[in-house]
Amino acid sequence: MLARRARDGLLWSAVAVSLRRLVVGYALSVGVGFSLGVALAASDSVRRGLGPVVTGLQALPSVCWLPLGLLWFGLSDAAILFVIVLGSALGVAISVDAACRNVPPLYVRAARTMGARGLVLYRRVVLPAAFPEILTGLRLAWAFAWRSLMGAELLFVAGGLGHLLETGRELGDLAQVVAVMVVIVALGIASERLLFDWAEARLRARWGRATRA
Amino acid sequence: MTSPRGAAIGLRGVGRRWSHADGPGAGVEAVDLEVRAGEFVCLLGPSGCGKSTLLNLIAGLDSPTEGAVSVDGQRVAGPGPDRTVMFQDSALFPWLSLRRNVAFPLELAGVGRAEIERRVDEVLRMVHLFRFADAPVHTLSGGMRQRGALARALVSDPGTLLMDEPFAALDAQTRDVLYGELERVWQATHKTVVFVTHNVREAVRLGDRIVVMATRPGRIRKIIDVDLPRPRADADRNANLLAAVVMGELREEIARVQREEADDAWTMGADPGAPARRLGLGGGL
Repeated sequence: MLARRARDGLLWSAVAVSLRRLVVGYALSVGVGFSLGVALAASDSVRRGLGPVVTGLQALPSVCWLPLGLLWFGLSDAAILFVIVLGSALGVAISVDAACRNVPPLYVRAARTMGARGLVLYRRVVLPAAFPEILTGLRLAWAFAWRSLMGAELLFVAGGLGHLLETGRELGDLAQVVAVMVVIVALGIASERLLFDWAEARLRARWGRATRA
Repeated sequence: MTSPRGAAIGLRGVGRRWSHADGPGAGVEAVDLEVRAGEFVCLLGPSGCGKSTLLNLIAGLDSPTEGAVSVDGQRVAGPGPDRTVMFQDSALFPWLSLRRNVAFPLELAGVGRAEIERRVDEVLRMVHLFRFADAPVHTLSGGMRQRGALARALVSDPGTLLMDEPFAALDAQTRDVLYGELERVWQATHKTVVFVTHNVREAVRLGDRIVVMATRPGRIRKIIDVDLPRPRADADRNANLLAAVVMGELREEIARVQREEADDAWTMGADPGAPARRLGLGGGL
């Protein structure tokens, strides 16, 4: 079944559509999440105002954003990206915020004596120092983005792997359903391995942390 | 190094009170101190005497609640690259190589790439770490890290070097080597150094003057001139005599702290068996 869908090109185009959405959506999530996370960490008033909202929205499964996305953006990729961003950006924000506040104060003090302030202080010192912890958040956010995408594609017919899965159900084609599920899992594992294992290994080498505890 | 001399530091009527909102901190009261340009001054005292508080006030990491701190006549309003600080931990950034760590203050100041290269090489040579420039920080020993921190503190050519027990976490041999290094660098660069320590021998070894501090509230108890030729050896007789004098000043303060921190009438120098006997008596009752 996999081979047939691979030959007729349906599988590859579905994979391409899904991956493009994932990459764009994830990039947006990381951008939004970092900005929001730094704002939460750096400003007490932002924390008081937005903190409860962020944790509150985090309780909403991302697919629940789809109806709103469809109303706002219509039947377009923008609606799917909207779901991905709301599904994973908040997680990034929460991890960036927590990681920044766990940075050893000594690094911040030292940087301040060397003349670092404001955004420069965050960009050059706080975020790099927090990065090992942020990386875990990024990894989880990747998985969240992947799930949000699949959920949105299942419900909203417009190409992609989720759509292929839904088509399999409509045709009563068990083989196609299982085959697509296998592809989804395989892609999820492969992307995480390639991206995050590599990043983590590099980080460990640079920071001199043991590979095994 | 371009600046011909260090900066002069003035503390006039300086006080720092801590409210509960500020968190814990050792307060200081009515501190008057003039540090001459190029002088090496040690702030010595037991924990809680506010010596680190004073250093932070000079660094501009904290501001006084009374009085004013000035450096070369300019009132200190915040931290600045003219007053760099070394801490007990090197605070070298683990995500950068040694070279990038040392280059950091210059990068912040927007210095050109070639100039950064030149000055980083110069200070790394000065602290004998040139060969380790591209090493990740975690591969360096504790002593090497502190030398790296010294290089980073010197690279922006500050008038003042502020040191907060920078050698306290090192073993005695490494520390002894670093005394020599620091003295040599200081004599070569003519920086003003304010050096916080609780170690009497360290203060006698390094300082032109020793400011002995008292606790609760933190204040200056006595200022002692160290008229000994450099470089000073630890075993030097005059150094030993002076250390004894300084220790005498300090002893009373330490005893006070211990009285306040202990739950009985235990004091340093009193009969060492007394508390145990009291405890024994208590147990028998």
